[in-house]
Amino acid sequence: MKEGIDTYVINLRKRKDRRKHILEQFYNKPEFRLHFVEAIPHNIGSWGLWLTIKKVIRKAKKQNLSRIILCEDDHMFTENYNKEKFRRIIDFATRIKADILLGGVSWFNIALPISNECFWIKTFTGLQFTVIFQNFYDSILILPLEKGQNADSFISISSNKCFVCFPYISIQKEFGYSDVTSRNAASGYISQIFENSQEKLRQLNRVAKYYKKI
Amino acid sequence: MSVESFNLMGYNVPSISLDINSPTFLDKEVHQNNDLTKSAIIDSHENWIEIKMFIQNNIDEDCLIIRDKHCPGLKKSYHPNILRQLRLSITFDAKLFLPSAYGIGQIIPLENGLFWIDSFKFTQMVIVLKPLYSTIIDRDFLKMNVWQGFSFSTSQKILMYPSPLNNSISYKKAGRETDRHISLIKEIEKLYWNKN
Repeated sequence: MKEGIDTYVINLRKRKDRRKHILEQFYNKPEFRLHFVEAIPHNIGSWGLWLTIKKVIRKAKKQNLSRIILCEDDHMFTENYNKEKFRRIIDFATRIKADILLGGVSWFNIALPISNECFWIKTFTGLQFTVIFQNFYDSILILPLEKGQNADSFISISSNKCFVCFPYISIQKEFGYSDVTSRNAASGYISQIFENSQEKLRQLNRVAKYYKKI
Repeated sequence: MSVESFNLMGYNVPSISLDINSPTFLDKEVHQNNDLTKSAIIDSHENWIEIKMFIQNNIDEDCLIIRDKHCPGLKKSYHPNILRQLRLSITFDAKLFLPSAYGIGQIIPLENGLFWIDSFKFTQMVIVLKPLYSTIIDRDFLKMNVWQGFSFSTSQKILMYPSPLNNSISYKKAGRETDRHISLIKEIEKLYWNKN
């Protein structure tokens, strides 16, 4: 990352607390070039998010950006984030022609460790910090998502080239409310599901190391 | 309960066959909800006691076979293979060897058609290896089916795939899910494990 990677933060105008939170998260991190994107309001939160994601991707495509970061305004860096490590993982993901690289996921179905720092995953939830590579822009733009469906589940079903950083470098901060998924508002719920999914990855990492597979 | 010997390439392994996978258990809805009816749980409790007694009575054996009474036999072509795979699984520290498994959680490919798995929901047969005997004997029955009881008893579960058991129509749908899962993992292994 010789220059900042374009990072699009999706934020509803009325959510000033979240905007402040994001500015704090990216403070003193010149490896990211931050752009705030006004979320398209919709009474179905997940649909508004999807329309906004497509707006960002169209822009990235037009500007011929090799990759972008899609960031939701509840993203929070974990203590595992550091610039060099993130650069290494991005380079690795670029080399293996990833479609998507996630900072952390709240749930996944199937995973396989492919390095000490990265897992391949199939079907996941959690797009709060997502690197999207250019080769996947067109696929996102033509995804036949319908109202009521979640972008993360749909994206993860449509690609077999999704990866997640290990340990997680991003989780979701709890604000006590969610603009997309109502059950995420319950206190402690979000932190717990991220911890549970990461624990599963830890176990797989230990097993793969034990058998000298990574 | 029926206690017998199961001939594995000349080795007579003590075997018990129980009514585990009842038609209720194999009901589609039960599979989807990962739940059991009350009667199936009672059956499981009785089966668990039988299994513990069977292990206690054969404590000096190196391995023991526990089968559903409807478990199909071994495919002829796999007879020599299963013993080889069982021995190989021991080199991977297996405590439970699975000639088939359905509703598998996570998978780590090992070698020669052997896979470490983190969990499974049911099967037709397990081969319990000696290091697991005491865990099973000491384990109280949990409110889950017998197979899940085995799944929870150790993290050292090794699956042989493709299954050496004859195909059975009752397991067709669940078998397809296992096939899809393993073929996806094998594809990912091939793509990424040698490119780091």
